[in-house]
Amino acid sequence: MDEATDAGDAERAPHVIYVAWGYPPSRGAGMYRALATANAFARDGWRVTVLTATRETFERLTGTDPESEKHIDPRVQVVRIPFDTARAETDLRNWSRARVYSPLLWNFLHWVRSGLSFPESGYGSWKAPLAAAAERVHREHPVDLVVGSANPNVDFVPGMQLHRTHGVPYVIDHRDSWHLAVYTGKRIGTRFGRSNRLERRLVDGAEEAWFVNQAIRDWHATEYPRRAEHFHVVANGFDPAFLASAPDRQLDPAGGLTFGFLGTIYGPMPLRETLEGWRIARAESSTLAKSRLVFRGRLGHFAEPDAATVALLDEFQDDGVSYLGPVSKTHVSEVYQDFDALLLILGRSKYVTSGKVFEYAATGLPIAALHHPETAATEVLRGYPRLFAVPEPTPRHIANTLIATAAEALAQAPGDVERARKWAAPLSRDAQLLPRVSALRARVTSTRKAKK
Amino acid sequence: MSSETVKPQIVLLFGTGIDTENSTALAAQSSQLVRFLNDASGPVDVSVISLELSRTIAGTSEHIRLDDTDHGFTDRLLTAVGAFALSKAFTTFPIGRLLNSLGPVAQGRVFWRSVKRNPEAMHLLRSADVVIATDLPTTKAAWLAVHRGWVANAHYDHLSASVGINWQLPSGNESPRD
Repeated sequence: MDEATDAGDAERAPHVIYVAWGYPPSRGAGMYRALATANAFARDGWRVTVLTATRETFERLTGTDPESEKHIDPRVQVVRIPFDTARAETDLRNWSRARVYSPLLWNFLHWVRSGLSFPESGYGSWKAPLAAAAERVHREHPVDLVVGSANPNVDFVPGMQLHRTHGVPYVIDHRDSWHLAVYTGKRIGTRFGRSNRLERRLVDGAEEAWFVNQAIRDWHATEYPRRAEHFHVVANGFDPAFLASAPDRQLDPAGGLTFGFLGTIYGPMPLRETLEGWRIARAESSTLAKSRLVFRGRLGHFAEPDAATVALLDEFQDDGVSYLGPVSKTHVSEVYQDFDALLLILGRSKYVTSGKVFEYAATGLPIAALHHPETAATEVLRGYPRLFAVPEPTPRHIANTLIATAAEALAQAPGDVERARKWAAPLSRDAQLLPRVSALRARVTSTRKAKK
Repeated sequence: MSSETVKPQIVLLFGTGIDTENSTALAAQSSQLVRFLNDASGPVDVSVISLELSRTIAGTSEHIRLDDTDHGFTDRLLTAVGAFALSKAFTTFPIGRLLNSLGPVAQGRVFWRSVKRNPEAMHLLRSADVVIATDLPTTKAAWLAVHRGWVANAHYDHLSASVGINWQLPSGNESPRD
């Protein structure tokens, strides 16, 4: 670290810059990890400066979850850096003739230009302002650590910058992966491509690299064996702040049950198989025949529900299936309280854990895991006391699992929910994050003392 | 600007029926349309000019559908020489889409020609105070409207495409869908 840092008061709180493009009020799923990580550093006593994009950026490009901003720890200082203002311009008076002539060509040229700065489509233009902001923050309050959360991978720029210019250590937090296609398991790009070479340099210089599950960590350990000992799994987790304790209640078999799914339906999920399995189960079980299946969340990633999914759910309307729209993260607790059992429907991938698996476990409700066993969520739920998993997601297996799950829900004894919730306690975000935050604090503190 | 009524007029443009897939809006988010409505001191007229939009939009005072507008010479010629058929094939790969965007079959140009050939649409556009292009194909028409001085404001805002979609956040009791 440089003189500025050395001269600082050894007693002052360590200062971390946390870089996350997708920070509140962004609506992306990864936003909650970013929110929780910055808050965890603040709770641990760090001075925290978050570098993120402006609110207008999210309004224009990703959509927003305005409620999420209320959950930022008040001790966190948020520095918002304008992101690609030309692309986010909505006032057509400011559009050039060339842009109106062919928005596609304009976008293409714009992306090419931004790619010259940083090898990541669409985000390169953020590199320079991000690096400048990091320097400015370091000048004002010397920085001890930079944590970048990707994607986008341009979030790693401040770490590289301050490491190069001032020797500040940095951590790379991979919520996803830059060069591993998580659904296919294939490498993205060649080893000698520009972004791959940059990632190698990044990994070589990093204090630590974090990954969301063991499979992704192992893939990177194979790619970068020299640095593997610095790789850690910092899984996603549930956010206790959003999940109030569910009532431990006795269910009435005569009234039927409410099975619920909460999440986004997209990609290669076995939805049709689930619905067909539900229909079979209703034909074979008097309890299921009186029960209903409720979907909450988004049907696809866009404002209007995906037409194919709507049509599919409509097909099963007479089987007690209903869709009740999306839910803000800040209100999921109320939704879970209406459910008696949960359906975990996921696509097959050994690299994809999903976020909802942690939340599901934290409810303490019976879970019907209707995904292929190879899916990474299997490991997360191994040992959950109220789990019913299919050997493979076919309608027949799904029907059997739903019947077993219903029996578990009906047989619920006082304390069952609480026991399951206790089992899930280590899956909280804090339980994942705090060991790393503490380890980094110890290292930063000892570095400071050594330099004194 | 409208002088026959005190109500300000907002015109929404929809250039494709399926382009709402570009929209990432939730109803809780504030679209440009919602902002204009909130800022208005009194009632506001909201009208729609659309091409290929099958759904109806509640609460609008006028909805001009351009689908039945007679094709002009250019469109008939392009159809006759197979340009539209070729452009459909081009939409299946990136360079093809780029080439489409540069020629006369670009959705933006098709939409603008349809507007020009529909007197009611032209009248509505000229009498509006604000035009909101809800998708890329309609930005050309909105851009021309503001640059020719017909309207005071023109915005490109895909969030406004969610108008009339009844998703409420949050609720456990609302009707499933309209």
